[in-house]
Amino acid sequence: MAQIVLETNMKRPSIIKMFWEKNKFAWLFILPWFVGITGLGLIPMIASLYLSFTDYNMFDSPGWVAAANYTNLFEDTRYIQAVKVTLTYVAVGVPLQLLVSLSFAMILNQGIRGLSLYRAVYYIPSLLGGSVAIAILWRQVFGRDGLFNEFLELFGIVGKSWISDPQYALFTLIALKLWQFGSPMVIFLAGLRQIPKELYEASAIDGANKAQILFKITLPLLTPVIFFNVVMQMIAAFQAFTPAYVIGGGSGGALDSILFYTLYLYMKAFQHFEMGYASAMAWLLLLLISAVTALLFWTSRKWVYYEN
Amino acid sequence: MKKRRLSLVALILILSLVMSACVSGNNGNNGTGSNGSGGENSTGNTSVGSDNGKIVEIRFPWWGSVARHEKYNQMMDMFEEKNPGIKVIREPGSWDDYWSKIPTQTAGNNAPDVLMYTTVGQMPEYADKGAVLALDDYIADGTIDVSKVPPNIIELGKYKGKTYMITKGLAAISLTTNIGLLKEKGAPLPKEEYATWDEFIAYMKEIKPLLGKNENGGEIFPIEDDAQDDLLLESFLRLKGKNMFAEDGSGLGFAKEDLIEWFELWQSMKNEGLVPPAQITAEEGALQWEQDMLATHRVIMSGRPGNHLKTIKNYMEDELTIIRLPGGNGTFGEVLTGAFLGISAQSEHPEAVAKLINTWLNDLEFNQLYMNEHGIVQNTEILKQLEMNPYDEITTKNMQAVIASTEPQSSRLPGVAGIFEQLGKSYEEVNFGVKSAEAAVDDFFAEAERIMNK
Repeated sequence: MAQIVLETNMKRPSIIKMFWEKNKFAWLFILPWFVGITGLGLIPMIASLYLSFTDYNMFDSPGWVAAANYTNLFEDTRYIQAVKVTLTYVAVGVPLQLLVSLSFAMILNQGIRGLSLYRAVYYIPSLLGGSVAIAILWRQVFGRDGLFNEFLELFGIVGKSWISDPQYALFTLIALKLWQFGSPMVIFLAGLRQIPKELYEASAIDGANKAQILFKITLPLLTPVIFFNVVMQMIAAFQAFTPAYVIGGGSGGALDSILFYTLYLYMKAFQHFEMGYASAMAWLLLLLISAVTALLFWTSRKWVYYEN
Repeated sequence: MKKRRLSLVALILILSLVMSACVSGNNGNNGTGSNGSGGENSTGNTSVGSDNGKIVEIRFPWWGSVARHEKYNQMMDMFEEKNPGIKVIREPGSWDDYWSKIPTQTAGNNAPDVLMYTTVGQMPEYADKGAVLALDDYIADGTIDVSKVPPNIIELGKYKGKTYMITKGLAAISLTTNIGLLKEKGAPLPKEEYATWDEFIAYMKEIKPLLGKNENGGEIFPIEDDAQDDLLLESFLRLKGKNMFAEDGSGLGFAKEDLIEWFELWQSMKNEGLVPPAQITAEEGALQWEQDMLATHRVIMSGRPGNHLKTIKNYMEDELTIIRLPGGNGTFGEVLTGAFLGISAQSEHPEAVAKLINTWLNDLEFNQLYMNEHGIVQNTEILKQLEMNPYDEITTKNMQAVIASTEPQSSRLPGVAGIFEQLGKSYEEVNFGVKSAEAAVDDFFAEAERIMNK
């Protein structure tokens, strides 16, 4: 370092050169990441923004169509169906999943023995949940002769094929999402651990009952973690693809009942070769997710409580 | 200082490794290019196959089961042995992978040399865009010898007057029938062909009360719901002298009434209990072959290409046969299906691919390995000399009856994937009772027109 400083004093090279001299190793170290983010992230994104205003079909050179792709989307009944399905999935699936994961986190936070084992066991579905194998398994479980119907038979209920019934298919996917409560649960557990013990002791001395402790201490102090989980799970839910692709046989299921946004986008891009249209869909999804995230951040001022 | 320089060198090495790993996916073509870059000017292409020429590499992706991958590997080994100058890079995968990979690679100017198509109609999409080579020159100069193949079979690979693909195996769309199960239930067996749909439906009504339930306690139906199958629909349209697409390529080749009639034909069969209800079709209709309605004894008959028969026999013990699709008072309309080979317009070594196509068409030894894997071969000489699997014989007999009594179907138009997806969706809406046949058919025509006017 001393050498460099000395040299610059003598020759006074340009600022850019100085910057380079000083940081070249840092640049070299981030180069792999930088190449990745520009080559696989930034450039394709810019390209897709441009393509969303063209009729690109993967073979011919793209022709400019202005905003036609975007306006056509709102007349496309399947697109509207895809938006409805995805919004339902997010609006029902995410709160339920968080409720389940928070409940499990609270149970596991009781200081029971073998916590790390339980934590690992409940976390496994989160690791497996996005895989094709699980989606296939799910298809079997909720099929006409599946495990779920056999369970119902114990109570004398005659089940149906839940996967292929347009009324229930989406709910089997929401059930699959619920089952993957492990990763938000682990985050909730960490959050619960951080709540100071004194508060519980103090409230116990004051004679607070369990419900009061839950609503006056645990939940308010957990709101930053809840907020984090809501945002992350919401974004993940908007982008869900594999379960719908596998369970719906790649085509959105009976009557498009599980035609997820990303699935329809994939079909438009790689099955119908309407790349421009699919790019427009991708950008609208980005806008939609940004808008919902912004909305969450805005409301967070009202309900998220930061201790300091 | 020295240490620092060393670490810089190490870093650059690592980086270059990472970078080369990133681009290695595209290296297939470049590798050969740089290998022979010294003698690039010596038009190495003409010396394909000669011992002293440089090795030419061609990429051949295919779809299929593991058994097919092994078979194709052996065949490519044999082809390389017979053509020492050619190396075949094999890229096996699934059907879905294949059809998402090929357009992406074609768009990226990285298409494989050998392209595989079917009669479902993917080729016109590529031909319109100049992505597939016309084979007429190779046929004219004898590189691809088609003299042993019936001319109407060659017709199937034509689009707008040029030949773009040549079949490596065909079969007719037909009804695979579980006669073992029929015998077990004491039901009469079907005839090999029915002159009309009415006559065929009368037969199914006759057997329906005898079928009862299968091993899983499920009701057995005479036939699966094939209304969404474009090949069956096309065969039905041909009975009425119509086609899937207009001859001049201007649009659909049939009227709304025709499609309404088709939908209502299947709906009436469903209402008579001859076809499973919508729920069962939605659940069991899209499963893997080994678990589909035919395999699980849910149905007696299933509309599918005849060459499936041999493969189905690998996992089904029942006695099977195939019968023809019902006719229209003496006329028949079944379409032929099968796999075809073509040459990518981006190929640097089209002659080598032409050689492969020629070997597939005319080499007996090669076909003894192939054994009609992807459909019955169309070289009449070879067909005579091949020792046939008994089920392939049934398939061949059916196919030849179809070829003798029908015209080869006209080629399809670009955009079929979206059009046939809409066919499935529209029928599903009728089947679930969400829309009337009329309204669903209106949707179908609107979407088809939108796609074709693009």
